[in-house]
Amino acid sequence: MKRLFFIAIIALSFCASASAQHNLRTGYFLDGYTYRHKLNPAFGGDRGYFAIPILGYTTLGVESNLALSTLLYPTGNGNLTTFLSPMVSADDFLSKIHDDNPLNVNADISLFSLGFNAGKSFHTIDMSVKADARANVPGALFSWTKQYGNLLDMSSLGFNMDSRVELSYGYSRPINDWIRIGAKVKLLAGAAKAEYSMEQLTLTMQEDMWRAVAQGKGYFSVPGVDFETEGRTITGINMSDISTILDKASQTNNYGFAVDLGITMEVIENLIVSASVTDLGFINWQGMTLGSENASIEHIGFEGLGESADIKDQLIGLGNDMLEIISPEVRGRNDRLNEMLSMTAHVGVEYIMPFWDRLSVGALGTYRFDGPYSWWEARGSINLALFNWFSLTGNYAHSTFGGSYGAAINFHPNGINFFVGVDSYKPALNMTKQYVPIDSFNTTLAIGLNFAFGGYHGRFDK
Amino acid sequence: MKRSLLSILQLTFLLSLTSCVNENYDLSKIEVNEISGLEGISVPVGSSTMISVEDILGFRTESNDLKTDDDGNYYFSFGDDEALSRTINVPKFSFDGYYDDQSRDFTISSPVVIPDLWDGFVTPVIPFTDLVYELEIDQNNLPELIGSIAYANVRSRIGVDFSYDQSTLPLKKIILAKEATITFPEWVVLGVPSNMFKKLNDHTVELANDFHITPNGASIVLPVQGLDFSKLPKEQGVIAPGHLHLDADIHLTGGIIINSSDCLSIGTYKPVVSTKLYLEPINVEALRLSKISLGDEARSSHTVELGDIIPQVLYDEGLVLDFDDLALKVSHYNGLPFAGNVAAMIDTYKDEHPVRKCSFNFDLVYQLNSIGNNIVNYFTESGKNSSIKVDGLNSILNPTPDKFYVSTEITLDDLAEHMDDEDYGLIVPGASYSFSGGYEFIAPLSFGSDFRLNLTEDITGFKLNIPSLELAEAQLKLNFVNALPFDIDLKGEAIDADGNVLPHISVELSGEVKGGTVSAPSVNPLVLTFKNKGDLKIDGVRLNMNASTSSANSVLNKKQFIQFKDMRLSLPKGITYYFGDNN
Repeated sequence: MKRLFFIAIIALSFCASASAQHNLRTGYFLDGYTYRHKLNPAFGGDRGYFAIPILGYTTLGVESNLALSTLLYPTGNGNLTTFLSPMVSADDFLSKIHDDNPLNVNADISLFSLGFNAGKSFHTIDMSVKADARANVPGALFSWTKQYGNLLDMSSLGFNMDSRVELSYGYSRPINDWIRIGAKVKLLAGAAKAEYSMEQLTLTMQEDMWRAVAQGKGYFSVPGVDFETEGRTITGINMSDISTILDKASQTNNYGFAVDLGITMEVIENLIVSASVTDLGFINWQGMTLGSENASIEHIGFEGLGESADIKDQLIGLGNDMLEIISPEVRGRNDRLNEMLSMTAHVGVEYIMPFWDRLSVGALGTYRFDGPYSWWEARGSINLALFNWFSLTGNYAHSTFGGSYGAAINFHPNGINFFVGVDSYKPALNMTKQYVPIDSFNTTLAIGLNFAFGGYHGRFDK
Repeated sequence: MKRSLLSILQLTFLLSLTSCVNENYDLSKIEVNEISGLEGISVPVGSSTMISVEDILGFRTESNDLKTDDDGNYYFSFGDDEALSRTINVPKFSFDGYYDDQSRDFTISSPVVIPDLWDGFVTPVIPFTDLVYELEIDQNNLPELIGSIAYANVRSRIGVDFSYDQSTLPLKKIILAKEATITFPEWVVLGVPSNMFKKLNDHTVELANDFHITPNGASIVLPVQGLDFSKLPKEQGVIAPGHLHLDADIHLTGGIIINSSDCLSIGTYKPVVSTKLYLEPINVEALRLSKISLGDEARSSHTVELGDIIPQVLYDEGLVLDFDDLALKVSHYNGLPFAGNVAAMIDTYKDEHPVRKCSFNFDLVYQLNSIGNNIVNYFTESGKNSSIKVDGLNSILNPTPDKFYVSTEITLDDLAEHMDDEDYGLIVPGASYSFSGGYEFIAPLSFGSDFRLNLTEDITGFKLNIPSLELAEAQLKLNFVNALPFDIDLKGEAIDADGNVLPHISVELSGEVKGGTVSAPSVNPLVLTFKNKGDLKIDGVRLNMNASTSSANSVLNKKQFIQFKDMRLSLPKGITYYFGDNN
């Protein structure tokens, strides 16, 4: 049974790392939304709940400022072509490319989640699998493929993937009639981590040669996966069979701890200000330290008349040279890495319409502290709690990844709680025939089905 | 109010959730027939090696006659270090005086009466008439190199024998009174006489004491140490090569004394004394000559067949090199104590016809002793690097001759007046003397005023003829480094992998190549743009370089070069690559 449990967790970890998203920010002001405590632990629940495993809470998200319409263009005859087509002008393409082009994919899947009211307090116990995969492609690389420049700076190139299992306990309660506070403690077990980023990666064409400078660093801790090395140089990858991977994963030495903190304040009547920080903590990994020396190469063309100046060979040779200097080396095995989690901060303001208390407007600011993958968002929403058992919200957000429209609905009668929402339904407004978003990938989808129990403790309980 | 607002919100929400499928986006119809990109890509293709002037002009300095100086300047030279080499052997010889019938008798004008043999009567000094002896040296066998003698160091003796007949003059002896003088010609330099003489000057002596003449005879002898030819009358001396002629008179004046005790009988005496001049052979020990005649020994001529030694490159039509400020280096060794003059003449011939001629001369510096020094003189037409100018020298090799004729003649003169010590400057018979001379004709090479450079260089290996790859435009950017001293016109032609010119591809060149120097080569940015209405299937570029010099005197230096540096192959409009059969 224990083995099956771990199989499920690990499988979800790896699957999650391939898809993903954070908490549904559209749900921050959604009345009756069961998992508001994931956004701010000070939020209590309207009712107690018990999550159906996996179905209880699943969020998948993609965040990127790259769009399919940036990469594919209609030809006019019903076909599509790539940005590399001569039909696509460099100026048109490059106007859509940003200096940094992050692609963040993440997931949060609840394995077990329970919330209940006890007096004025609200308690949660939750076990979730979280995974993040982040990559950044410098815009210069796109620019370079279309319109060559003498300097190609790819120093922000990198990727980062990690997944972990969180076991948390949350507690919130009002401390007076207008302030409510909450906190959540989390025990973390790291499942896998792989990251590599360039601290410097430039390619410069000087008078008579290419000059490439590269320096990178990274970390690798994936159970059952090991590198073959000669000295420090990686020469191959060994992957264990699935049972070995599961064994190693179940014996993980990657542990961490985190807290979520939150507060809500009804500063004046109908005006509620809230704030929270989540994932304030660390995780300690055991794995391999990767890195590459601060290396530079000078790739010189040919010397002497009659020698080959083959442009193809030049580029191939240059590519090989660059691969050589950016290839990571194993600097150490069984190295410990104490890593701060990527923290998220929310600040929300909600105003309940005095003329109709089931209507409110809200503003939510979010900042994700994630080093080179950090982002921000400002979201304004209109929230409607039509009935005590049904609510909905619609909003507009502007963020690092552009503008988006979000919406969510929540059925929360006694006995059941079902919600579905997206942080941006802009991808759905313009899709390919295969339902692939054209103008934006940027969204978070959250869905959940939970059992609800207990009496109503919502804001219409007065 | 609430109901209306609710309706609007519900409608808005439902509409916003409506998904839209864009018919223009069908991922099953992605067309990737061609891709393009890398606009403006510039690939460094390095630099060429330096193309030396030897590579450009096609010659090598392995030729013995084509050299470079320390600065790398090319020069062509030929010459003969021992064009003139002579050793003069001066034989030992002597002057033989001619003095036949040089007997003279002297008498007194009045008889002497001896009254008593024992009364101790001594006559006063009875003067006798002056005796004059003729001295003549006429000799035809002198070494011919002896041109004009200034002074001769000799070893000889000259004297007068006295005698009388006692049967006719009954005297035991006759006394030649002291203060009798013998006067030699001025050019005779006497040595140090014995105590019996007092030397009045170099050529006059006086008896210091009475000299007894007995019937058996008596002689007075004087050493001769020199002959001062400078005191000879003009018509005397070396009157012809090998012919010496000297003549002069020697005077003997004085008186005699008769002591009565020497008389064998009383009576009246009128003594007659016989005298005879004698001269030992005059051995010549050293000569200071005012002129030495070297005769044929000092003449030299050389013919150099230049066709064998001038590099062919200097003859090639269409590649005209020139000679820049020709120089003639003349070295000589003079072991003779004479200064002199060297006259030289250069004639050049082409196809057996005389073409150019120039002549020059210069002074030879005398040496103070027989250990001579090598003296080097440089001659140029401009006087550059030389104080001696030779008119017409620069044109002597224009046109390039096939024969070069050099003749020299040396004349030597005594510079005795410059000598401080009589011991110097003497020719010693029996000794050997040498002098030698050599020349080197130095012709720095330059790009002549008629120089025309036609050079072709291929830069290949671009391999832009990749199937399915279309290039609308390509550029080759480079820095043309030019250390040649003239501007170069460039034209480019696109070529394929087999080196065939692709006439349908135009090559536009922007930039120009200015002349430079070895110390400051010009760096000329050039851009060659390849254009074609269709595709650019090129493998390289052929650079046709043409240059001409507007003025001469641009030296040719081994360090001169051209180089294609910092070459970059650029594709301003990027690359288009076709997939499948669309190409």
